[in-house]
Amino acid sequence: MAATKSSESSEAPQTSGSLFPQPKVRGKKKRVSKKNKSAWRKHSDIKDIEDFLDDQRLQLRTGGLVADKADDSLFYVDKQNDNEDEAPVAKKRKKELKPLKIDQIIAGETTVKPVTGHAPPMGSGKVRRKEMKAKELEQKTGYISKEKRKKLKLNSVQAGLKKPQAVREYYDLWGNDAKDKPTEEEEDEHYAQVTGKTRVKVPVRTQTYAKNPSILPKVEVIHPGGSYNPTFEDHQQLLQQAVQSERKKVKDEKKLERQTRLPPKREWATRRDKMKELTEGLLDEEDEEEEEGEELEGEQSIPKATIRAEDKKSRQKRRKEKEQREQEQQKTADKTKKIKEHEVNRLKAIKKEINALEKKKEERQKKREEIRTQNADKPKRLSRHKYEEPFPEFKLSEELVGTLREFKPEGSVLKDRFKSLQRRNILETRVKAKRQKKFKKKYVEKKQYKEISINV
Amino acid sequence: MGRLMKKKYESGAATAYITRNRAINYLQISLPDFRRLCILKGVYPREPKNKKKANKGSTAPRTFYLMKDIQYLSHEPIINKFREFKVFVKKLKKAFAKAEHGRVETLQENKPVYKLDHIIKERYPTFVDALRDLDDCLCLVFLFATFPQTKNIPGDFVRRCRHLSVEFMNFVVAAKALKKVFLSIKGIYYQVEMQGQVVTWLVPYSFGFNAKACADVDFRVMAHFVEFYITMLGFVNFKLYTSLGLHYPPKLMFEAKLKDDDEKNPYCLESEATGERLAALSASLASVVTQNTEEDEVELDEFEDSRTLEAKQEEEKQKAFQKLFNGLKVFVSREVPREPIVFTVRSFGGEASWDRSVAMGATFDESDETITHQIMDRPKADRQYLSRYYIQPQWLFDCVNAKMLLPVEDYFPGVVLPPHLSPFVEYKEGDYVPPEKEALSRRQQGLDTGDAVSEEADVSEEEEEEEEEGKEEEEIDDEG
Repeated sequence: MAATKSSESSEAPQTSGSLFPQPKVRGKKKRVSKKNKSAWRKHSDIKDIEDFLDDQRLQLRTGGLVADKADDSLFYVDKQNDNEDEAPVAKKRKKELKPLKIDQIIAGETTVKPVTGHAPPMGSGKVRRKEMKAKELEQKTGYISKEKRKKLKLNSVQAGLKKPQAVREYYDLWGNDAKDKPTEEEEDEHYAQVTGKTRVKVPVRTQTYAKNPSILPKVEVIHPGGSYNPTFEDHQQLLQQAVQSERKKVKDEKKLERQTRLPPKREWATRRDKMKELTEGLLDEEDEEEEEGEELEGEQSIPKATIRAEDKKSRQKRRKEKEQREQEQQKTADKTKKIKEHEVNRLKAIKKEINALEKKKEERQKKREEIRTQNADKPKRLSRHKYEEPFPEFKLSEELVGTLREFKPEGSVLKDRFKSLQRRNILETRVKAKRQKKFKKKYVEKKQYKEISINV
Repeated sequence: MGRLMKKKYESGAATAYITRNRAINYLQISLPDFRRLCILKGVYPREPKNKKKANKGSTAPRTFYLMKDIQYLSHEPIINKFREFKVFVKKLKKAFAKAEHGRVETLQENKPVYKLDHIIKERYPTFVDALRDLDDCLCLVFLFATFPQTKNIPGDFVRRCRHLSVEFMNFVVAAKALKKVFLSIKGIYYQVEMQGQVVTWLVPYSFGFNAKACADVDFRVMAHFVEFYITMLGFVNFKLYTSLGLHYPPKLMFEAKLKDDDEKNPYCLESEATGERLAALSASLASVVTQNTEEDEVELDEFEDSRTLEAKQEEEKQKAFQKLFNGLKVFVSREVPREPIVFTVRSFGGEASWDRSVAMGATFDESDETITHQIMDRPKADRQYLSRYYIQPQWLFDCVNAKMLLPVEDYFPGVVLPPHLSPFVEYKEGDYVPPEKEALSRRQQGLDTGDAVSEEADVSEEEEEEEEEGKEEEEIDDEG
């Protein structure tokens, strides 16, 4: 029978004071003065005490003090014959029973309690009162305090304080439970009784536009040439469409380039042109000024007419003028009246005129209606940016593989949906806002670089 | 004293329209909140007839809204929730900065949430209205179900989209509502008919997320749409399921047996197993009331009328179309995109399975002798069973679009496939019709030279034989 030490203590370092006390070499005592604190510290030997404390701490960290443990936990009786081979089955079971190394590493053995923050001394008045209150409340109402919940690791739902929130409960939304619901009048009355106010009328919206802001179908099915294995003709048609849109794109690009290009060199301004522009109106200024001066003098030479006494209108003259004016007015009024009276005879002509006018109106309306129907499937202009038609998805003839296994899809469904929403006037077209820099970057040439120049 | 002059811009277009900035000031919310509100409520910008008049004399380009729309928005209770959320964020930031962890916790517990139920009811007063507007909804929900979780796309969104899309597909399978399938270069177009409403949507092929392809898309705006559509599709799914008498949330038939199978062959976490089984589309949904397997046929009073006769014939055709793949047992090889195939086969009454190592929910193995068709997309199979046809996936989709079973030889592995025609094209008189389409329409009318028809007959006979064989085997097993 052999007694073997348990693994934990065998791992302890050999320098430990209590378990393996090292023999101390006795020499001649050296006498030193210990008259002040620093001298005390310097010359007093506390190694054995420190070793002892270290060892004790280590023991605490790794499974507790050995001295406190029962003998059974430190030793065991080895009944196994070392030479005899273990039965394979038993070995396997042992392997199963043995905890993994990784678990052993993770498993905390320390008996040292973690350092906690400052807590008010137990049983102090404040804590006791709080606890008492919480207990009372729990007995009365069943409310479990937050501290207790934390201790028990319960959340407010588990503690029964709150109803568990249903996860997306669906029910018969369109069921006919209209009978139980009060009518609008009843609701109004109830509201008035409770609040003493009349209910605000919620505006009713016509839902027609909301349902169909565009005549386009919600899901536009791709051209038959967009099949993963299309017929030759359908595929060619789709390719033709793609070619057309590509052509248009190239044309637009070319146009833009043409418009922003510099003019040919022969049309550029020469030095002479520039000089001429700079001195425009300077060289022949003097002559013009002279001419102008003459003109001005001429104007000034005409004397202003003076008002003489005999030019003043007499009362009689004024009255006569007035009478004449009135007479003329009367005359024109009579004339228009006469014309109006005679228009009865012009009925036919008037009718013709009206008809012509109406016809013109109708035509205009028709034209407008036509334009409207033509543009009905086109997206409306809903924001600053114009809607841009996405490029149609297609596969080139050599990309058609003919089997589902080797086939690669084209385009993105998300983009297709997004563009469809824009095309159907549900979303306005927008451009992602670029984040603007708050401050302009400023470049400064440092002095040391300034001094270096290639020319010198 | 003259008459009071009528002032400019105090009536007409100038007051009927309001610019976006003025609308924001009017509602006292931020621009992003305004955008979200407009999307949720279905308020779209307008183009006034005379922009200059609407803009009070200025010709600067602006976004206009109808003043009435904005007034209508101002009564929306969700605006208050937006404001509450703003306050909540402020408080949370402050608590974080002060490291008040308890307060952070309580704040997060009481995070303001808003519901969209009333808006959906308001925008779609009847269920049919909602069905009519389902195209957009399905497109976006199916699309977002394929996305990864990023800064702009919350993971919760993706999970819920996936969930709802799977539910919807299961409904289509149960209702046999699928009408058309088109494999395009963009994605797969599906068309279904529910309660007389035709709905088309586009599903992307399952490839990785390509951020570059959708660089100039405003994700925030799209996320608002998805937020609304998630709620809408939830309610629509509920109504659809209950209208068929199915459980909602969906339950599978023989769930216990499936569970047992999965335990033997664990594929994912137990918590995810139900969702995965549902997503496999291979099992049927359980109904609330136990139904008779035979359909109750209501006998109508017969009237000798050409119109009713036509309607009757049409109905019979429809029924036959829904049973297109009845009796077909399809095995999907691993190189074939599983979901569209299984969805199509199951929507027309067929059975589908795949290798157990590919995904959950496989119902039979490759070695099963009763398999009638094996879908494969490589030039040659390693090991071939004589009892089944090996065909390329396009056959299934072409059959659906032709509304009949097409001869299989054109679709054998390694054979150059006939073109996949778009079922969405309607040819008018005088239009150019591709020869393939002409041949197909002749075949549909039964005018073809006969080889196709005889092929079909052969196929159906063989199927019957195989079924009989299977039955015999079972009997033998019982005896043993």
